[in-house]
Amino acid sequence: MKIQKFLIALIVYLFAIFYISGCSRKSESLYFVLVPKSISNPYWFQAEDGMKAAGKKLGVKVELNGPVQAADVTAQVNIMESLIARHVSGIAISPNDPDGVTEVIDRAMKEGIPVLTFDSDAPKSKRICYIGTDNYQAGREAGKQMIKFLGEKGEYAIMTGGLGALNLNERIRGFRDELKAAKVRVKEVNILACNDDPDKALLQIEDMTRSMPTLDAWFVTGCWATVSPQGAFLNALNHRKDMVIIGFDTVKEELLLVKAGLVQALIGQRPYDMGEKCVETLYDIVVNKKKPQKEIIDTGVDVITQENVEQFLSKHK
Amino acid sequence: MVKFGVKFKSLGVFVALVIMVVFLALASPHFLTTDNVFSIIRSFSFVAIMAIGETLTIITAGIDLSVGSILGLSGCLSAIALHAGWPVFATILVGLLSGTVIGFLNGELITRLRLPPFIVTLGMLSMARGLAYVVTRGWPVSGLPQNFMQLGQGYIWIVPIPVLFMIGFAILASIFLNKVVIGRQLYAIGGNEEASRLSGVPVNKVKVIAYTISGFAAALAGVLLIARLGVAQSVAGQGYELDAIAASVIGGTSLMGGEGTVSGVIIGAAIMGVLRNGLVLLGVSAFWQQFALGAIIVVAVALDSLRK
Repeated sequence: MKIQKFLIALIVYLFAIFYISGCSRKSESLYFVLVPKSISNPYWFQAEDGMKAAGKKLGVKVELNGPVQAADVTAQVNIMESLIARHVSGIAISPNDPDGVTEVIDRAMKEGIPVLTFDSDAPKSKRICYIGTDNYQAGREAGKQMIKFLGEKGEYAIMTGGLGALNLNERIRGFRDELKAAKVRVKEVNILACNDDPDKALLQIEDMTRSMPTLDAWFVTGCWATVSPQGAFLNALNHRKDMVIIGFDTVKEELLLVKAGLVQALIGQRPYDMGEKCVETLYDIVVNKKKPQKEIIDTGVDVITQENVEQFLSKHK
Repeated sequence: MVKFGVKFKSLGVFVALVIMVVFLALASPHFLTTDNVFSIIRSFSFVAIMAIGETLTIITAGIDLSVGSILGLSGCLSAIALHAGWPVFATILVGLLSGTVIGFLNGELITRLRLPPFIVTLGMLSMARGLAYVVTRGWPVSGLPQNFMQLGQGYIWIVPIPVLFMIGFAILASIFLNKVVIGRQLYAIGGNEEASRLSGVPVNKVKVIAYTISGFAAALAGVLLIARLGVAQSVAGQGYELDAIAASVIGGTSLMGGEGTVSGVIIGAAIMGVLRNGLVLLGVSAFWQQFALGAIIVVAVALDSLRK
């Protein structure tokens, strides 16, 4: 009985700690929250950097809060509900599934909390605007790069993240359209989904590459497979240095793979800009009462190959 | 009289819940609003429903690890049926039936082949999840009709409909465990299986019923969840079996079997839901949430074992 009382006291104590840590945050100042697809992908940390920089510049509190498990729609919805309850000043979300979050976005808007989408859109919702890459165009650019490195003939496979993610599907659509328009004789062998899990991505690539010796190339719609050290990546490719890999994003590890010649091209997004612009746009909406002029704000893409990779690596110092 | 006796056993966790609520109410003016409170209750209602089913199996000194996958599969099947234009009632039936059948299979494998529940339901976890991938080919299924989504997003007066399902299911389960012979026999089996068998309890039949209800509960949660989100994912429910077990254990269910109450389970699910909401409300880093939830489970189990 004594120990029971002690343990209840322990719970109370732990909670007091959380309460005190939360107290310092409790204030009437502006509080913007970014909700990424998950917080376990290094891609989002670049967005976080941009978010923090803008927060510092504008003097507002910012926070990154997302599901721990990747591609988890329910967790995002639960987080959004808590944010609505907390009545934060503004939210920017990259949805794991555009339909799953529509209801909660609309409810946030109804409660007077401005909501934007970034990186991946939820077009059917009442979100104010979308800040991110024009994923269809990015996909077409990836297609161009694939043709450039693979040639007029060959077999490729696609590795994607969550099959529900709108941004990834748009990239695939653009990629396929580009190949069709160029009228090349390349064949798509299969499309695999790693659900945003980097370990799973490498394993799937390894399995597929080993079982299909005629496979020439991979198109990876995100960075999960390519953010690995050289040894692990080469292993996944079954040591086939002749494979053509077209990937996405500009995380440091993948830039190093480009430098080493293992990845031929990366379509770089600008997550830092996205994070920054989200905070700036939300600030404009809340403080200056200014709505963005465009509903789709394109942050643009970069194409990184061995020729210009050094310039991007230097930004990571 | 029975209800009061039941709550008395779970007094410890109820007090812990009240303390958490008081703290959060003081820390954030946004906590004790009707909107937020019902929002939290709705968010944990899915786990609560699963946990009630799970508890039946744990009371028999067994366990059901397949509930998360059943949730995913039932959601996917219902969504596919809806997409194919089936009437809403039929699609709900399809979803519920899938979970019930899998639960029944679990029970049969465990009793007829005398396999450990852990292994059987672990295997079923993969099989059911695999089936969910097969029927959807990995793609999420959305575009569900508005009238179906009312099940998950609608309200009756100010109470969200999933919450009403949770309350209804809890009442039925409580009556089952306290007033129905088979329900009471679950405790006997968990307490001492051999003695129960010798005193004439149809042990195998009762166990199968427990696992069947567990499967049904998971399927019910699955159907309600896709109605809530408006989309069915093949990965939905991954890891939820741990949440269901945690809610059950926090609520006073003993993993050794023979003990457990429905009200305890609801309080356990409530503690987890309030904690999740509270941590976001307080601005605690998302990384610490996992740690906090795990810590609560350890503390609860420690409390439970020390009580003996």
